[in-house]
Amino acid sequence: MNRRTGGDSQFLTTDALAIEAELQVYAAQVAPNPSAAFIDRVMAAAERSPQPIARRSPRSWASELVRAAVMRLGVAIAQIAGGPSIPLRVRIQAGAMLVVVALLITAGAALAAAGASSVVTWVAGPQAPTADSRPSASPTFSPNQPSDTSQPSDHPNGSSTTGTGGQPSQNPGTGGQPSQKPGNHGQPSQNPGNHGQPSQNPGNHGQPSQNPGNRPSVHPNTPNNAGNGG
Amino acid sequence: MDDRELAKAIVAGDRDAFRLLVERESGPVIRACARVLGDRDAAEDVAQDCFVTAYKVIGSWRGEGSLHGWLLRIAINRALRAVKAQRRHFPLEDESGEPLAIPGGSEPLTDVLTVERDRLVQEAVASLPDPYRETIVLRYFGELSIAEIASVTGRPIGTVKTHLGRGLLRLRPALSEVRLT
Repeated sequence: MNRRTGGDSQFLTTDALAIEAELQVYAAQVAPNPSAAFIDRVMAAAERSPQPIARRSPRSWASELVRAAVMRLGVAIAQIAGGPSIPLRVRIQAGAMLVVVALLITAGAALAAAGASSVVTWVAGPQAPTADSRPSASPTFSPNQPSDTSQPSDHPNGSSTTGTGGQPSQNPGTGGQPSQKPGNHGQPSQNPGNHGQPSQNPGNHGQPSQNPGNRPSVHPNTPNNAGNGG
Repeated sequence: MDDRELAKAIVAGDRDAFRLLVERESGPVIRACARVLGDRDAAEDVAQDCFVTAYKVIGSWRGEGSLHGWLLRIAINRALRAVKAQRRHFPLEDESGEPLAIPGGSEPLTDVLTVERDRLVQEAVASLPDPYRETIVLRYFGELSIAEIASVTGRPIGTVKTHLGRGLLRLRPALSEVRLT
């Protein structure tokens, strides 16, 4: 059992403990001591190596820099506020240094504020549109604009005919013409009203419908389209 | 002399301080390397390399954790690298064609099984993915406590425990081939 690993394994599962025991047996059996010449070999190799260099961490560098700057500022303030024994030339030099430091601090603070402001703006994202710039929620209907149904339909027949009384609609559609025809009488435009009624939009093939929808369709597909209520 | 004073003295050029460090740590370092490599001479070579490297860079030791753990981590990582680099083969005869003598010799079968078990353990541990491998090796080959591993690796203690438990379970299939206990 290893010297250091014996006491703090309570968190391990039974399986893990079994593997741990095997590793400890192995470690106990493979435990060679250094040979007699090992330390001398290492020392000889170290003699041939360059002298170690003390490396300071960035934090220690920064703290030393700040400490030196604070001390120098203290000296400058003491020189300015000192008695008459301090020559004017020294006072002017110290005052100039304080002014430069003050300017640097001000500039740094201004840059930090500007940076923080830009970060806040960036985090907040683009400004939300105002009510005036927001598009109207209710679409306005222009008489010169074709209706939505003037677009070619994905439906093979160009019409999403519903309610054909059980027959599949073979209506080729309105041929790209507006579907809001007179005579729809408030019915949905995509419903030719085929429940036994004459088609209100009987496939007028590019002609605006002059028929309020009371005539039977003369389209070749009419038998499968209009009025095919069963 | 504590670790910080020892490190400062070594950085200042005190050779005796370095000798003291080598005398104090050579045993654990060589043992850990030998458990990884399965060979004492190779372990001493890696350990020597570890000490020379530590001598060069001891100025960068931040004083967090112990020098013992810091050295062991260097040694173990170098030993694991050496395991990858070396071609692992286990000859049954020496260069003159004579059968290799098995240590002990009184129980040939037991000794062969022991050699085979050692090889299995070394290969199983070396084939673990990081960070499980490093944690397992530091713990059982380097004999560091969980707190020391956390300090050396900079990981939280809970993470070290997790790595330890998962690493052990990952070893189970490989180690089940030869029961050691």
